[in-house]
Amino acid sequence: MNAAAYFIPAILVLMAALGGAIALKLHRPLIIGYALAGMVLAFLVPPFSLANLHTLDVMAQIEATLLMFWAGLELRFRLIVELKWIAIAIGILGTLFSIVLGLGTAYWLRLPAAQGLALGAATSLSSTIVLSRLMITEGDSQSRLGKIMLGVTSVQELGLIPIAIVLPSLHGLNAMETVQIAPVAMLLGKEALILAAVILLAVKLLPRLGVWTKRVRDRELRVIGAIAAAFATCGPDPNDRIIAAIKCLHGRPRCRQLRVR
Amino acid sequence: MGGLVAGSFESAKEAAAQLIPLRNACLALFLVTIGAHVDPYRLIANPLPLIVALLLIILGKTLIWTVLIRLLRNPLESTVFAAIGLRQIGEFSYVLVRAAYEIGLVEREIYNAVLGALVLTIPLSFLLQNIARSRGFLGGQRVQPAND
Repeated sequence: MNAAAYFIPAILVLMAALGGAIALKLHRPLIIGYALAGMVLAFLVPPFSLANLHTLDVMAQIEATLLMFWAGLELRFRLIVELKWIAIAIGILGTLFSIVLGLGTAYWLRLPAAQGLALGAATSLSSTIVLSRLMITEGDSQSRLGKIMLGVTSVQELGLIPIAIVLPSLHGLNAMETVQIAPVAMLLGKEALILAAVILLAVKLLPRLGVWTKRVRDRELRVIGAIAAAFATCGPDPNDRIIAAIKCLHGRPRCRQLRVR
Repeated sequence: MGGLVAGSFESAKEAAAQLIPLRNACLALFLVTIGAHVDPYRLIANPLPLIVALLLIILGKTLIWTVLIRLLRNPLESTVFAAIGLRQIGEFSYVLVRAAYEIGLVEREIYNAVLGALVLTIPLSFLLQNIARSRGFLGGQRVQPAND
């Protein structure tokens, strides 16, 4: 196996520990130390980010997948329902305004419209995990405003799927081609059906199964069962469908992954 | 979706609560990895994309969230705090921009700039949050509890 596969994760963990320790010593949030540690590494060893880009890319994907899994785990459907239209309306409006802002910026800088849309879409999404870390006290997340914030990020998590499907269809805006609406609409429809099925499964059926699994006395076994059900539902890579959907529109081979789930 | 399914099990929620340190460690590693992934020399040579991405996040998103949350008649201080909390970008943005870069929708400069902005805006949010908290903008002082 490639030595970089062992070496790079070790260096990254070491740098995280070092950055965290320095931040702790300076009485600053640990997360500042982590962020700066990565950037220092990129500055000190420029080839690190070039020669070993693939390993870094794989690591970033695994970590992003785990974080997205956690975000899904903490997704608050009941909160969205409890807040009624507020979280949905604010979440959608905030995302749309950010995308429009990205588009306006691209127009101002004379960049292709598709780049502006992609930039706006990428900068529109907030992270639930980061937000959870920002809300460190019980009062934060239990306050009405805290609930709205968590509800908004939950809506955005679900919104990632349509954004990721619509985005590649706008590729034609760069090349002045005609945007194909039909395949995008079909993909959106498929994803909406899959999402609806998963939501139904998560909200209605699995909690009943959860009551039944409570009879299993071994806690470890219960947790393993829950995680197995999760992976069985969506496969080992939760963001795989998004990537596959995007590639599908461009005739890449992973398209078939969309059909089975 | 996997997390969504797992989250519907009561036992998984218990486990998730116990695994918070592991989640935080994962976030730490994600930040270091993305930081190492950024090409700083490219950003220095052409800083405009990074400046644009930072302006979109720091000014644009803060303004958008401030206006939207203020419309719900929240106090200005807590509204600004909420906007600071919501304006960061994270793993979802990475997944989206990476996919867009893979298919050639965005150039390397934009991809690099979004990664740079991700690494810079998260610590900035924590710094500003600390300042806001020290001034009592959140933490039960100025934000009304949900049941009030």
